[in-house]
Amino acid sequence: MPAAEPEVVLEREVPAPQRNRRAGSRAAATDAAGLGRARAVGFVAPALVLIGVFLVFPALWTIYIGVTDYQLTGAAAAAPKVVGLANFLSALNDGLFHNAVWLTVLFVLGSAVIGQNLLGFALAWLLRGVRPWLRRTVESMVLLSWILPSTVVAYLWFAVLDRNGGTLNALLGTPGTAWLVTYPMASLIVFNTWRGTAFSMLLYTSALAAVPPSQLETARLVGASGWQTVRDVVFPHIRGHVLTNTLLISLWTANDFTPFLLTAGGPNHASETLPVFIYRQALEGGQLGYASAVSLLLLLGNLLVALVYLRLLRRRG
Amino acid sequence: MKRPGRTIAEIVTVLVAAVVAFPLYWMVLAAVKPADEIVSTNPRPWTLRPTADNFVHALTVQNFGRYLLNSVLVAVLVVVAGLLLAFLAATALTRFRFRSRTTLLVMLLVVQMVPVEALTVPLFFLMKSVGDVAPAFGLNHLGSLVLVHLAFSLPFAIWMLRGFVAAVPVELEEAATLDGASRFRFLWQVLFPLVAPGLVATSVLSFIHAWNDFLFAKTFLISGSDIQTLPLALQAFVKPDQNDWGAIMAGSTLMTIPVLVFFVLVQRRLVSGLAGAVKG
Repeated sequence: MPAAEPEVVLEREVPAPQRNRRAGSRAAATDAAGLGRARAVGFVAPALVLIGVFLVFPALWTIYIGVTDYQLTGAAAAAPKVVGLANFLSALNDGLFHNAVWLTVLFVLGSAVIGQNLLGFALAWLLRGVRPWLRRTVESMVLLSWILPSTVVAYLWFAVLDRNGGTLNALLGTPGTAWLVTYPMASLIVFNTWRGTAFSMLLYTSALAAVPPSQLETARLVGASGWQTVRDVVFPHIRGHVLTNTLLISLWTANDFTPFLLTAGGPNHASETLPVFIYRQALEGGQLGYASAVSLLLLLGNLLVALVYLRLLRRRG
Repeated sequence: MKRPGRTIAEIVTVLVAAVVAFPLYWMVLAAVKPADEIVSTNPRPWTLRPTADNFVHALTVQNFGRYLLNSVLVAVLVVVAGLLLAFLAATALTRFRFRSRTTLLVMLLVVQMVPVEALTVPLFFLMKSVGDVAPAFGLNHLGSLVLVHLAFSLPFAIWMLRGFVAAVPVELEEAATLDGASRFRFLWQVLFPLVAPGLVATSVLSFIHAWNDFLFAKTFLISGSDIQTLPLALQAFVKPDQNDWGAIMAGSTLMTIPVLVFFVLVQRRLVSGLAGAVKG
């Protein structure tokens, strides 16, 4: 990650690199491609305008809605009033919000930090010593479950976990068990682990390739066990990768909306993670102001996690 | 590289592959099963009477072909426009240093953490206004989806490509200039091919985003049945009393095929691309 990239920020525009070596290296400090300011702005502008209009602007709008009592219907829909921090205060006292926060933490820890991370690493570790054609097959399968449309995947798991005629019940001999009703969070965690492991696997595969084979060989010669090798030889090399991976999958999982397609937050809020909570408050409850305030809290939570991660990453050097 | 642990590793990986592949296998199986076998309380993991009934049903009852075309159109536009814009932006942000660059890069990272569900309401009103100016990009038009998916996939794409552009040595650029190549030629004939693995990985992610989207399609495409996309169409088979599993799975299989084709085409580059991007 380019977190600690030292940057010399020059304000002047320097002409494109010339044949003169000195002028060339001076220019490279600020305008390596010799783009020129106008062209550089022209290159960045279309993307930034799109992001600004259709992502940043609605996000700021959401923050504004978050301090109003805006509702989907009724009097507050026609003329929303600014209510200050009232929405945030009611969130702090809302049992359902606490429930959603706890379930989100559980979901992220269970399926991302532990599930995808460990399974991804285990697969990457195991696949190193496996015949190439077998490795490619397994990689393809894992990748496929990652890239398939979430709607399709949700229906698939719905069919597998269905109470009547569900495949899992048929296999385990437990007819009539409604997995998504009886064990909603466990089902979601297993589902998300299945779905998202590919990314961790790919990342750790490339990370493991960077561990010097001579060190692994040494560890083997001195009789280190598999776990000792991972802890003392491999981990120090891939620490940065572990952090990056954990951050990305945690953020993706925290914002994931797919649980809605599987359980819709039910039964009785038992699987209502924050994104589902926000969606239901906004579109089913009509509480647009409140839902927006909660999304801002989720965003702040994400930022906090990212900051902790940057701290950990810096500590290395 | 022979090791005693190899056999164990291979057995474990085969088991993992089986577990991972199982739901996918089940999808295709249910899609070709005759109706009476699907509702059977004791489903068998194979079928001796494969049928195309479910596909015919999905394609005829639900105007699936039309929706497929809509989804393809949105996804292709998002991928092509996204690649171009992200490549240009990443090049400028990597090779050109200016005062607020770091701020801009941090912003690109932060906007990726915005919970998407929260934006549906403001975006709905925004699209309504856009429709007054340019109807093709407003509510009930596929253009609205293209704009939103571009905005949501660009930050990650730019962030990813930056590492790839940075990895191309500046000396190469100077050499190209010495050989008399114009900026434009350098950009398309030298830099573009060199960052291709990154472009592939990026385009896969944008494609998946656009292809999978249910939330925005559901929010923006509210009237008119011929403008819907596939994820919405699949929903029509889900009924409160009796889900039409055969049709759902046939529809799901059809929806998966384009992803599969795309994936097979780019797979080799995808792996190296993702690895390189995160290493960056």
